[in-house]
Amino acid sequence: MYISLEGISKRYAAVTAVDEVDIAIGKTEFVSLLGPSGSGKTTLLRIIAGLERPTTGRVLIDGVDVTDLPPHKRGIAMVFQEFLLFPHRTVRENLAFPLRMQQLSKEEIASRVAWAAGILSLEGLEDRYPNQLSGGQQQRVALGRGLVAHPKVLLLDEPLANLDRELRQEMEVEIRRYQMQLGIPFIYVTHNQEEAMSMSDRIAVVSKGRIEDFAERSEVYDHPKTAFIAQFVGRSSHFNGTVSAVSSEGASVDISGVKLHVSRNANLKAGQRVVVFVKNEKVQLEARTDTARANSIDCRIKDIILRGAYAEYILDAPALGAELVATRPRSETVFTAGQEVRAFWSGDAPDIFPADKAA
Amino acid sequence: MTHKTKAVLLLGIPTAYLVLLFILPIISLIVLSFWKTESYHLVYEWNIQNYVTVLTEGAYLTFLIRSIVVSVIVSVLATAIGWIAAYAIWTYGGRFRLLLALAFAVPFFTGEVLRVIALQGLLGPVGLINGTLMKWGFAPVRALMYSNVASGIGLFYLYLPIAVTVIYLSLLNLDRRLIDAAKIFGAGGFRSFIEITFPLNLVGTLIAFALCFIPCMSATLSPRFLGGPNGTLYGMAMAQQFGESGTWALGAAMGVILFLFSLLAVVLIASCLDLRRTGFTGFGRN
Amino acid sequence: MTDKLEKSGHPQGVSATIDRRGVLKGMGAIGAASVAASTFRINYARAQTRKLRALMWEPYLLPEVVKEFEAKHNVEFAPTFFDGNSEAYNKLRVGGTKDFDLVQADGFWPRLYFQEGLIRGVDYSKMPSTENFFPIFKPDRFDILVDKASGTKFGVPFCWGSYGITYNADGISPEKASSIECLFDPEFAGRLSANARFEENIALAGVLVTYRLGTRDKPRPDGKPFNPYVLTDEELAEVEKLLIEQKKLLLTRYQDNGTLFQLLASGAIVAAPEFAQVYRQLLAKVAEGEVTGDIRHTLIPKEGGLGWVDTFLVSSGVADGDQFDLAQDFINTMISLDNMKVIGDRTGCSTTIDLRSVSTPEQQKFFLMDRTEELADMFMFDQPSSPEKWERVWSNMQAA
Repeated sequence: MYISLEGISKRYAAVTAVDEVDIAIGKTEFVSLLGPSGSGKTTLLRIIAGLERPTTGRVLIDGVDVTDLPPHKRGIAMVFQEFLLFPHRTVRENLAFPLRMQQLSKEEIASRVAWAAGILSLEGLEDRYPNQLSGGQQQRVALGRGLVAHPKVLLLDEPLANLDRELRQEMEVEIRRYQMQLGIPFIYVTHNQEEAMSMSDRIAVVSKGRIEDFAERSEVYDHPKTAFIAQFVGRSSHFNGTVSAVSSEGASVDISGVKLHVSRNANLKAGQRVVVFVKNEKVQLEARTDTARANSIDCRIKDIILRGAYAEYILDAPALGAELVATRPRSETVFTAGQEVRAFWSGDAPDIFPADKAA
Repeated sequence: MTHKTKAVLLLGIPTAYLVLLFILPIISLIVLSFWKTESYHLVYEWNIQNYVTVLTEGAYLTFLIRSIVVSVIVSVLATAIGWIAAYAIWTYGGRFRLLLALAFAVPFFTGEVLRVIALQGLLGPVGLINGTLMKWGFAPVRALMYSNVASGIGLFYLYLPIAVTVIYLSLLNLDRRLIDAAKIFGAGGFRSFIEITFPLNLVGTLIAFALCFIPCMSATLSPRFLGGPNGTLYGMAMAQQFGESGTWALGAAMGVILFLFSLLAVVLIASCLDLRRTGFTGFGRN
Repeated sequence: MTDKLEKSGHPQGVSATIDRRGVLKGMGAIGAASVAASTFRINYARAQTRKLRALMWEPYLLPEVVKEFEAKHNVEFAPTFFDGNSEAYNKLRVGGTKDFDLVQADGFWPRLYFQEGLIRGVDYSKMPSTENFFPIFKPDRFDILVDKASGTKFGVPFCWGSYGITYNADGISPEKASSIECLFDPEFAGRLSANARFEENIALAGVLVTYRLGTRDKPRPDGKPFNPYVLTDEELAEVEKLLIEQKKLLLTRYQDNGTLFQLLASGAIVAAPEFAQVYRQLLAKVAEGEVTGDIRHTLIPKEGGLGWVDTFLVSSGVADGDQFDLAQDFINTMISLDNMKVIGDRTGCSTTIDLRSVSTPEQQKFFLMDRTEELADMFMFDQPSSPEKWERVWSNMQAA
């Protein structure tokens, strides 16, 4: 692989920030490190950058062990959450900085800066200073500074966190496009699963300094490997229950007296305490009828939140003693708040994990 | 208290203070410089003779040039060493940083007189350095005995703490992550210092320089006690006018010229300085 | 060490930083503010118990004597200290005559004070201690403190000294040291020092220059007998040349007695002009074995020498009556045999009062008690005829 982290750990006195991490990244991959704040994902990124030294393990870039190399000898670039543009340099000079450090010719620098300004729509702003730019413009310059040097890898540390939502979504598309154009790996640190989902080829979910899973984005989303991922990725409702029976077709789970069928059995044993996750969009709704249906629960619609093409139904399920959420396209039947409905899902919809490992 | 009353109070008190303790004395100095003295008597006769004397008599110009040379050398050295010390504290001081920075201010706790006298004990012909050398049978270092070098060492010692403190405070304001950024983008340690750390602290550096340079120009104690027969500097000569010889009007003219010179130096430096190139917005970190 | 020396020092150099004509505290000359301040102070003072206010040199204060005096008269003695004559002079000129009852000054300064109405005449008959003056300090001979026109006496001298040459005979022959020339002799380059005061440097060089030129007996600018503080422009030009040549021979100019003591004690220099007090300190240390060297003093160089007399004066703000009597009684107390003995011992000065009856032969020799007559041959410390011209000479020398 193009970039490898082998047995990387980082310990500060009593705290272990990164714990025995192994990752391998391909040459044209867009990889996200997704995790809540304090999970160690930024430390991991700084270790790849050379801004932190790992306590154990090694970092390889393009087959070269760079563990002992300082940042400026690693041929990398980085985009920071706070942009960190050089305040005393113009846009042009900020963009030219990595090129000057590579001692490229003046013509080469000029043409690459012009290229970066062009693709990032920074034309006309070249002679401004960072504090004369809007947040979005500063972000573009920061990105341009990362791209312009044709680094071996571009590290991005929550680069969109300081932008508003609309701008963020626009930038997501652009960032992904530049990655494909340049054909180099991007390693993208974020706590925002939507960003990770929208851009990445693969996602490494980080929790407490460990990699919970590192897989294709759809795999991470559709088949969460751990309860933490099920909880953290996507929006879902969850219930605690007990396995009442196990068969080759799956397991029966008893949740406060309500029986549910789960078609994945995940090596469960009868009597085991479990936690069941159901993604919001997998919960379907229908008007109350007397016809029996597996995996269904009578609910009352407490509230409806509209999210563009989708409606989010907040459901009160007295039988479960819990709330659950159903996200439905608005093209489907429209229900109204206060209405008594039935929520149901298919047997392969829930993700089930032993309770002792639940997050 | 309304916002306006607060503003008036907060801005008004310093203004009143400035007027009382700075503007008024400067005005009286200017007035005095256009009178003259005769045998310890002030003669209220308007004239510009004092200025003619200071600007045409070789002696006073010699003092001025001597002072400029000594002050420039001392201030450059103090700023350079101040940089090294402040940078070391900032980088390696760890949790003792504040303590270390304060340690440089310790000499301020004693009077300037005491510090100069202590140095006289160190540098003089029977001082620690030369005394030890002679005890071991070596020739004493003449340059250290009552010379401009000695008085320069005195001035350096007096004003180094100011340089360290000012540069350290300036460094505290620097976002270290900018240095990380420079390193990521290919700059080594020295290069990132040249490209980022130094330019972003240029204002602090110049303030440190000015805060050394200006008191050096008006210094009296160090040249007097350490400078030797050829060590008379402008400030010392000026003090003589007010003290021994009672030629206050001439002294006042020397003072006004020094004031104008300092002002000119500051204006010149400021006009050569593009604040944008120092990352200075005047509004703090944004 | 500096401290120790200064305690026994003469007021001419008591402070390490400031000499007697040293730094003016602020600019008294334009001191509207200080006038206001002094007015305020007077009003404040009047409201208190009776006071005797003195403007004086600190080393001459004898706390135990003051205490006794205060108890005897039920008054408070309030001293204010100064360093240089010009400082005291300026204090008096901006309204200080109402601020002070007693004033001290040296050399010819009292005459200037009297001419300007800053001090008043005194009555020697109310001060019986004046009977103990050495003959030369009695008013009939010591006319510096007598107004010629009216015959009014306006000062009481109490200490005197010379500005002779202290030298180490191990490094310079007594014969050479008996002449001011030795202070300008390249043979002793780097082993000489001089005072930082501009008046005495110029005056002493003036003594040498006029001696060389033989201009002393020619008509003088002020029409009076020769006085090294009144020099012609030609003489001043010569003085300037001489001082510039001397500059490269000097190790440094001493700012205070402590420094001079160290320079001489360490052998760093062989000769320097001074007030004879470092000489006395050195002799004391030689006697204790702490300093080696054959330390000697030329009281009056062959070309002539400078001398000074410190004087008690009564400010013109004191009217006849109780306050005047009190002030004179204080002077009388201070110049009593016993108190002058203490002052001499503490400050290292020679006294104007004949203390031979209460001194050992060594002390008599040490304090030159048999040589007071030589003061008559000295030129008294005075005010430069033109401080402006003298300042220029000094600056030119410093810049050369």
